[in-house]
Amino acid sequence: MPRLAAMTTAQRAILPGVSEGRARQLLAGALVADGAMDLFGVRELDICPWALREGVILRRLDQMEGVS
Amino acid sequence: MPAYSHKIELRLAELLDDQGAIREDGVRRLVDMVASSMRVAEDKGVEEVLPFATSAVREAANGEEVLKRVERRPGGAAGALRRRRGPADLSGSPPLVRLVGGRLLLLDIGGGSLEIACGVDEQPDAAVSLPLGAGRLTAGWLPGDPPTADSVRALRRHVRAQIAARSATWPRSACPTMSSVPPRPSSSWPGSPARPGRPTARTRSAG
Repeated sequence: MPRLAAMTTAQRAILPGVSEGRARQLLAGALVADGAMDLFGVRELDICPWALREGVILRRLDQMEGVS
Repeated sequence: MPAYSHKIELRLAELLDDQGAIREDGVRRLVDMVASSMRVAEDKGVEEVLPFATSAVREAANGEEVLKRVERRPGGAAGALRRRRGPADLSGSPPLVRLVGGRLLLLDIGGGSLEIACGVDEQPDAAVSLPLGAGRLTAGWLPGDPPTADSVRALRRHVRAQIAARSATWPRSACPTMSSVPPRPSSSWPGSPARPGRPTARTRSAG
């Protein structure tokens, strides 16, 4: 975390997997992840590529199945 | 796999004014984006559009007004953006849907909010949305590049106070055994290298 905090946006953008558009937000996101993991007692996370959009689609598909 | 994907980054949570309202340039971007996306949907022969607004709009001081402006546009998604996000919806987490046994804690760090939810299936036992999105916090707390050590410390304190206020009263029955974070920076999230021999089963998949 200290290393990340000392990096500029341009430096963060070079990190593997970090897009240019998200580089500026990376530190804040990391502080949130770190705090949440610590306070909820979670030692590991799985990264999930799906998020809200996929949830909305899944829910809609469920409804469609219910109708037919 | 999607047949087609069209995506425009707005980062509205970074475009808030002092009052927490989305600034005019942000609103224009949003209105234009919805209009152009509706055109793309038509071009691709889409039969049904499922619009939704994330917390960046939902919690903005001028959120209502912004939605009205989006709806006023011809061809805009009338009324539909009102199907707003939240409370955190675990069906957005495919591993959870397919998980057999074991509870799951979902942490979704978005641009505007942090969604925390926990449960065993699609309906969370406990869910909360906090204004701790990465974009919102960056714009409000971390000026400078890189930010000063003091501002980082202040943000860290703020984040932890907000989360601790919720985690302290989080139902123990909803304790996590595993968790998921879907931030944009993908698999290289610091501190979460893939490690073999996880204690709990997980399914990632399928799409």
